[in-house]
Amino acid sequence: MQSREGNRRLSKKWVTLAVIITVDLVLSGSLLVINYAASDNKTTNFFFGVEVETTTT
Amino acid sequence: MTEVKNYTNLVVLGLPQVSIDRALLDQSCDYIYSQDLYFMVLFTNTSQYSGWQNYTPSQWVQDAKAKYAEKFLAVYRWDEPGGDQLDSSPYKLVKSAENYSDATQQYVNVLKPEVEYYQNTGLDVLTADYGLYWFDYEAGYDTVLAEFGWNNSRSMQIALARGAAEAHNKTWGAMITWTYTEPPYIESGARLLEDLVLAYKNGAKYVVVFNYPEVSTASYGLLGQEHLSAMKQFWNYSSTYGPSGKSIETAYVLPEDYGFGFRNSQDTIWGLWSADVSTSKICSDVNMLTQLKGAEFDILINNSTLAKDVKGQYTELIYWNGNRVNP
Repeated sequence: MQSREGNRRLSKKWVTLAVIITVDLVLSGSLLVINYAASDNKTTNFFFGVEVETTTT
Repeated sequence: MTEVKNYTNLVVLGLPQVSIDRALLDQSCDYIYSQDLYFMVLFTNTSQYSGWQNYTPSQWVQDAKAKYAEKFLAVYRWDEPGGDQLDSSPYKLVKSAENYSDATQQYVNVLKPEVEYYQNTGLDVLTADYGLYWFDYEAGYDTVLAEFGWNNSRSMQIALARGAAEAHNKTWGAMITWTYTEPPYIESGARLLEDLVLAYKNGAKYVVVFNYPEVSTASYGLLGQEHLSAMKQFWNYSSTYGPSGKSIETAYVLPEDYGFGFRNSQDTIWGLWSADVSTSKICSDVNMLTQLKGAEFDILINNSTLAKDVKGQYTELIYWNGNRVNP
């Protein structure tokens, strides 16, 4: 039981830490930047490559 | 492909003999897909696929769409139809016409079914060309790649392709192709990089470097280390910077159905007529605009369907006959 209690306390600490970090990121605007970067998938908007061609039919 | 896959995201299979050989086509597309690259496939005349028996190219495209999903970008059908028309190739679409309007109608009538055959699968259809872009879009193409080659004016190519694409609510791109008919065949690495950046900054959705493995004993066909290096630099550039996003304020408006080649002031109209009374002024106007604005203007063709909202995108419309309109 003690071990479970210990785990619960440890989990609470991680949750608290995660909340603090998230709030801090939102307040600083960093999270918005991260979200924007993740959704800004340039490769689907612009295509660059080579054409391979030999004889035409 | 192994060499360029880390600094490109697209392969254009422009090999009719691959598209005709179904097993080789499947194998090639499977490989490209396994490399996490987007791709397009050139299809030739449907009569060439008789060996497929009851399985049609259209069915293949539908099945490939399901199999490769978003990685299969487009069908490339009929290479350089405008060029075929202007230079009277064996594939010339319109052999004779009563007037420019008749030439337009015939050109569209011949090309449209070829485009629609693949468009009906739900996939985009694309071509690369060196003239008559406006009329390629009239025939229904979703994208036209304007060829940057020889010593043609890149600014003029962009103005023609982007103007036509915007007016038809479609996309455009650039195809970097032959500069010389003998070695080194293709422009220098430095010029290649300039062209790639120019097309990208001006809003091209696709930029493709043409390669032709059979003319050289070099490892990568036409492309030497200087070209591969330029392509890497461009990939880094496009991964870092967006296109300029600058709106184009000025459009030059040509007469209705004016199928002029724009390679020089003596170029042909529709491959059927010599330059006419308007040509000299039009060439002079367009050359002046390229000097003044570079690629920052579009070229449109006047017709009854040129919607008001297209014209309204510009703050200045300069007509071939000297009229100027500020919508």
